[in-house]
Amino acid sequence: MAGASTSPQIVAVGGGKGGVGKTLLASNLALALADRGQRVLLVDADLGSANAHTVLGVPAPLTTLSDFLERKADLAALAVSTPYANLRFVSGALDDVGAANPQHQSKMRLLRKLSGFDTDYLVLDLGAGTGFNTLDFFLIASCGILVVLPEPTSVENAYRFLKAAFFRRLAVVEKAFGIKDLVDEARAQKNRFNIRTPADLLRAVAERDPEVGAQVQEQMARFRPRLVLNQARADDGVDDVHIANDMASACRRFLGVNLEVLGTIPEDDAVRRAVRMRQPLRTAAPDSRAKRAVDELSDRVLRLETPAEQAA
Amino acid sequence: MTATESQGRDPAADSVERRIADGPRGGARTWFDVLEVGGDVSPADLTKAYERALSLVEGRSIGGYLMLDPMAAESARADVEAAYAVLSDPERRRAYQERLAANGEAPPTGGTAASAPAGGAPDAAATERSSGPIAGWSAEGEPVSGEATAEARAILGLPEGDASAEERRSSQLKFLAPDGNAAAPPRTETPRPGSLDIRFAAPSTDSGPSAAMPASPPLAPPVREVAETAPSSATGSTPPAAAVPDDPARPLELPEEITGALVRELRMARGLSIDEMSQQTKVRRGVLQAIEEQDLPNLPARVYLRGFLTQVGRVLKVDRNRLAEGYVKTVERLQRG
Repeated sequence: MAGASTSPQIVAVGGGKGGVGKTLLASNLALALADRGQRVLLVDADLGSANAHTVLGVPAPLTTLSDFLERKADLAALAVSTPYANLRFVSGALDDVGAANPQHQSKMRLLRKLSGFDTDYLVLDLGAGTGFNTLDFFLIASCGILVVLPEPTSVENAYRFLKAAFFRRLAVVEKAFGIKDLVDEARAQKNRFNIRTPADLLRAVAERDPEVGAQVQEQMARFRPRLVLNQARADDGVDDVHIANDMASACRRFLGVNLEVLGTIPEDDAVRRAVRMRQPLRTAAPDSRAKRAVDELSDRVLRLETPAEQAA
Repeated sequence: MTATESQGRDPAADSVERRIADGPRGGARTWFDVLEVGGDVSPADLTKAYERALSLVEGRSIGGYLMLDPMAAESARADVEAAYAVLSDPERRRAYQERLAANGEAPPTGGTAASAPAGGAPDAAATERSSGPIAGWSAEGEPVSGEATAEARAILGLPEGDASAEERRSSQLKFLAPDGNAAAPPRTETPRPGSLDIRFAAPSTDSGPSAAMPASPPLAPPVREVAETAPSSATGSTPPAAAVPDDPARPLELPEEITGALVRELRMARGLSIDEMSQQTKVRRGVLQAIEEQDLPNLPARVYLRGFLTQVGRVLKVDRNRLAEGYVKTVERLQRG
């Protein structure tokens, strides 16, 4: 338990495509967690096009992550309080173009600082795309959430994001254990081993070295992204939730990626209204279906932690 | 037979028979997992599951859209065809089930209960195939050159050699690695025996107490009714229920804590004797008894316990994950005193 008080649970909200509701979910989820008595730090990690402050209804902070990246400010100093109890907020860089692609060292410093921050929950609002910076934020999260819309374009990007994150994690595992050569060897023999999927690659690694294979397998098994389907419709007997279930099932069966459905957010005009009012759902649409859905999601995120606490 | 028809559609398709010999090559462990059906699936449900899997592989349903590039899709299709070929043939299916049982595996269920590592060694299919990228993905995940091992370990939450206090704290962050692993230097961990199968889609319930944020809670799906008819592991006597594959056909509200007495009650309510339960779950009678009597010393290890309870939950047609988690919770409470 001692460890739990110093290191926060990290929730990252990503999803490849822009405009799928990442910021909406991250902001409202952070607020819902705060409402449930957790100390929450919302970090707008969408470096370059941050706008969580707008969804949250707070003024754009004067100091942002770019100040941290340029070593002008400490992370704690960036965390501004919000009108909402338990919720603090760190803004992403707003106009500094360079900050969108921080140097590797800066990013590592940020990752370390974030994971040592004194709060219960850290909610990271990630940018679109599958760049390493986005992926690494996603990978340090204990709960990495992928947001998708019930549209082929969004699903396509989500898969791209998943694969990129999977292989980014594999690359990190290779480095951490110094087994890059081995994995490369397996990769190089993709014909002999008939490697076509991530599962195939890991299988080939295990054939070459069972011990390492088991370790890689174990590390990769910890890659457990979670899926939230936004703007889900359920009318005329067609329920979009099946899309989320299909995605999870397909990932499990054919990619070997353990994607889980965390939940859905229904299509709801209240969301549009809330964003236009520049207010979170709790303020703008407290009784909306979308707000209730986010509440449910936050309850599930909270429950994710419970087993660890019991074990401790 | 449908399997052979669609196999003929693409000349590049792996031969079904060869794939059957190889075993599943995607994320699934068994042929049952490939189609996400239970060991007692009816022929009608099997066909439905087969068609659903094909529509995913072919990207006809949105959920499978562009998941797989053409090569990987061919491989996935071969898995599906092979699974259907084996499971739709009563003789082959029985032989396969016997082989699974002989390997000490619980009878498969819809992809949720694959807790125990597969017993068989990975196939050594060394057949030369046409070349191609690793499913076109390798480029995306190439590591940044020059990145230090230490940094990678930090991302994974593994300890560094001479970590400063701050770094040590952040490496406790275990978000990507468990505390249990933190002390172990690379390559010293004993591999689990017989776990050569590189199936990394370990179920949530398998991560055990060492994982930082391990088992996901028994999630009630946000919406119970699913429009699409999904394969259900229900027997032929049950109407082909529309169910999320991971979910019971007939959801039943389970309490937070599941006692052995409740497990027994549920079994009785289904009119099953303990022997029948043992038959249907392929879980030994003694283990079932220990579960129902909360006989702590005789309960199997947590990982296996979860797997067995998942089987029991399947037969009882209750939320399996919730049953397993709830029971484990009870056991943990008892063990704490």
